[in-house]
Amino acid sequence: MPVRILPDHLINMIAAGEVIERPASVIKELVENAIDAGANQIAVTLENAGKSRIIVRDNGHGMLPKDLELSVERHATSKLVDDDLSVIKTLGFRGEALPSIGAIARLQLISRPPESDSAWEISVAGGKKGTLQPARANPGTTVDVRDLFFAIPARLKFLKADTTEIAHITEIVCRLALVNPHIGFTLHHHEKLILRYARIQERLLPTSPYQQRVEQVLGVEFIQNSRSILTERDGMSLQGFISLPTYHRTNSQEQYIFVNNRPVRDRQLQSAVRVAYQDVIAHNRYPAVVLYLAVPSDQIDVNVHPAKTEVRFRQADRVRSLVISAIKSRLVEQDIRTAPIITQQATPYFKSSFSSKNNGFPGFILGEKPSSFHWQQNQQQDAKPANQPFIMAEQPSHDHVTHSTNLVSPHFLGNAVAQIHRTYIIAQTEEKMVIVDQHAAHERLVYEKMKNALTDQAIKRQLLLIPEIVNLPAGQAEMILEKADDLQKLGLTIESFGLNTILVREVPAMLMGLKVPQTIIDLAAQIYEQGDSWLLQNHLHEVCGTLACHSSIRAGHTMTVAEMNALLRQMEETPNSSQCNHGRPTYIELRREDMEKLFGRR
Amino acid sequence: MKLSIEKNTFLKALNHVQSVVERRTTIPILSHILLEAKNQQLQLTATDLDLMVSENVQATVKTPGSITTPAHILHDIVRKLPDNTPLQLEWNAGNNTLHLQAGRSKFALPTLPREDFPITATGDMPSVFQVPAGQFKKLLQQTSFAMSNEETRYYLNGIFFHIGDSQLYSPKSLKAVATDGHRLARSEMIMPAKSEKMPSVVVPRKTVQELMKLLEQEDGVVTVGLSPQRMTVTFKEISLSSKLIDGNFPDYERVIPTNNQNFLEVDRLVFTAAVDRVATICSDKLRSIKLQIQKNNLIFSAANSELGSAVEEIEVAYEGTPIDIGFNAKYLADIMQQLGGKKAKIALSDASSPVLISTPEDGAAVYVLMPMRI
Ligand SMILES: Nc1ncnc2c1ncn2[C@@H]1O[C@H](COP(=O)(O)OP(=O)(O)OP(=O)(O)O)[C@@H](O)[C@H]1O
Ligand SMILES: [Mg+2]
Repeated sequence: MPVRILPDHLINMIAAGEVIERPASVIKELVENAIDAGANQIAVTLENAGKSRIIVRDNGHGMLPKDLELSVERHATSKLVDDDLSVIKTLGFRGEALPSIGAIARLQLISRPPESDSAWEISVAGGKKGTLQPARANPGTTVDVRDLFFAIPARLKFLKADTTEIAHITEIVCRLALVNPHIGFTLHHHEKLILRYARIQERLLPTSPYQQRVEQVLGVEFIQNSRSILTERDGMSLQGFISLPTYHRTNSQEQYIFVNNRPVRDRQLQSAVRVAYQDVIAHNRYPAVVLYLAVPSDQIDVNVHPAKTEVRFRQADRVRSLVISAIKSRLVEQDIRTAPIITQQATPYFKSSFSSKNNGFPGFILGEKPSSFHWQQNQQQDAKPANQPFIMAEQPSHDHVTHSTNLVSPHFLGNAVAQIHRTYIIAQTEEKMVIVDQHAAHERLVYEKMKNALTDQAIKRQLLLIPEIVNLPAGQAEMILEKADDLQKLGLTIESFGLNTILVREVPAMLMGLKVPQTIIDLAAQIYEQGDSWLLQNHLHEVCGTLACHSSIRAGHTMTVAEMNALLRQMEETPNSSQCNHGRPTYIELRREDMEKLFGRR
Repeated sequence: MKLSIEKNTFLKALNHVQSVVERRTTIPILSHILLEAKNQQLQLTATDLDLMVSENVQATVKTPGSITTPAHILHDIVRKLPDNTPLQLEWNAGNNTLHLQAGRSKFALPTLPREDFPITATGDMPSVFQVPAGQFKKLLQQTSFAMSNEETRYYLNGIFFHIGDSQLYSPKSLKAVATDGHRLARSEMIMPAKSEKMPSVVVPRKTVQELMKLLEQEDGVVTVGLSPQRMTVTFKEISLSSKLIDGNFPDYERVIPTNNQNFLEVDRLVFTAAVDRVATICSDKLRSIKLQIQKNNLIFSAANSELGSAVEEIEVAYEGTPIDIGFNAKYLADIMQQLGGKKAKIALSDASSPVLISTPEDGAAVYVLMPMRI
């Protein structure tokens, strides 16, 4: 067969194959376009998980009719300034998304720049472009995509169940929302509201817009279990939130990394995070992080991946070392915070020892023997090329290494040695001394157990003899009713009761003393403002918390060595056990080297 | 003012009135009690602005007069004096200490002028009638436990009294009703003479509690006066005047089931003891227990992830449809305790509808309880 140039529609289809993999890809492209258009409110609506229809509506700068007509053409973009691929500041730059979508689905765009009073419309179906027509619309752009993959039915077969596709879509919207706090997002599936993140107005809030948005997206629990970071170096800046070592996950799903406002899934960056945490977290666990990295745009190449999820750094080492050092030094500070004795007397020793030595802080590795030796090796390999001053300022002492491999205690918190003041448990491992606050520790264990029981069993509900009627501000009743199913799972049964009014039929039995109307009003406000509510869950957890406090062993209670060891082992098995419910530490530790330094032996 | 009074007489009256006085108040005069001596009598008066109680006791008055002094301190002092001691009270106009002497103990107490003490004028009550103390007390006792104490539905924070039609008494009865939205208690007595025109009122929680205390030893007749805003109760040497709750009590009749066709009859004490035992397994907050009601057989059960599980079976009289139903054990126990009598009758419809609890021995009191979904 002779060689020939492919016709446009085929080229588009092939390009589409790379760009559009599933409904979530369409949403990614369209929402990115809306963000590039300077919108501060973006609404996404799906039908059949996006398979039959996706609508993305923004209030951005829109397009004039001539731009609108061009926008669906291949390689048509307004975003490349001076034809320079090295100074990309927008999410889009290829001019490929719209024609690709037009090639495989029925695409319709309606756009109206805010300064113009007429809107125009253009359609493309299976690569065939329609004519420009006048339309009616609010300022901004609405993109309507129907019958995804109707032009290449083979693709349809690869689509997953609705819930899976929606999960992918939610993920995309979450990621884009995390990095655009000044934009409000909503996501609807048919009539049902799935996500709603209110726009964060910077001036109004005491905390940073990022923090507000992170709280909206990842929940208050993440904020409570994380610390913020902020560093600048070499013209690069890194800010974000990193989870405490005790808050970990089974996979890297909750690692949200952004480079120059672009969500990425970059292996180098993920590995930098892993290295930063490696001696505080078990190797098969992952921390949760939200990192915003900003580098000068001439320092990166974003044009390396069809979905633009990877980037290439000019000076990868520097980026890597910035990430590692920023996280590590914050984790060290964190440790000091939980170790008040050491802060007062031994901060200098502590700091230097922590950052210069890897003394095999193994995190919670259960049932297996942590091998410090192995860790040492790893870190040397990983850290060396980065030339990171703080990871390996000194070589590890060799006798220490042999020591640990032979004799290391199988338990992270060691063996109980004594109880002092009938309040604290002293335990030792080969490398450190651990002091546990018995009440705080036990309280945490009881609390975690109760919380689990709460999610394991259906919540018990008291039916109301006289249902409560609650009036809500306009608009909020519908929003809380949309969450009725979720609330029911938490034990609260509500129904519509006329305009702006709801009726409460059942309340969680645990919250019997709860002021029902106030709770409903608070819940509705939270759902209205943040799209979601963890308030009820929080109330339930609070009750668990107080119960836990009352039913745990107190200070002043004498414990046998066996009891103390049992407590230590339970702590090792319980996530979050390093803090009590009130955020105080449950244990502190003093390393052997630190002790030696304190006594002038080193 | 100068008088002498016997300790126990004084203490009994103080016991009655002092609990009206709030422990914490920002208005000093409200922590005081008013003492007025004249005609060989001492009158003690306490108020929290909404509720006022006064009582007259015998005293030997040498110089009449009146003054106020801190209620709780006075009460504590008198409480600690040896029994049957005479005590002297003396206050001279122009002086601001009240002297109290008993045996060798002497106290000087601060005072505030009598004029500062807020006396609520009661006025004439449009509706006045008399009831035997015992029956009135019973209305309060059988219903008060179900009063709500949640502020938002403030109109439930008391007992609702009204005259209504009755299946028990003719022509009508005086009914007392209380509910906290989860359970409801209703008791009734034959309509007292001249009460037919009384307004329907909600008597606030604190007044109910004070009344129960005041009536504890009483078996005479009490006079009740009612206006839509205020209630007075007088008997013997005591008089009480209380503001009423300004709000509409819900149309409670609607929530009393009339059509529950499944009748469970139990021995009240056996039932109560079983509930109590099984509920041991419940945590403090979540006292949910399950009842499996089958033909002539009732199985209680409870389970808790921490505390284990419990099952107990009792014999009952039941011919209805088998029902599995959950309740708050505390609510069940409260009702059973108030119910009295040997047998309890529970009328059910299904697992998510209210149940009606009563005893064949006393038709006057009925209880409605909402189940729990467990
Ligand atoms: N929501 C929108 N509001 C305003 N203009 C838009 C919008 N969506 C697209 N456009 C215009 O249409 C052009 C083409 O969009 P398209 O997504 O195809 O390409 P791109 O965003 O430039 O690059 P990429 O293919 O990398 O996404 C954009 O450059 C932009 O000028
Ligand atoms: Mg684009």
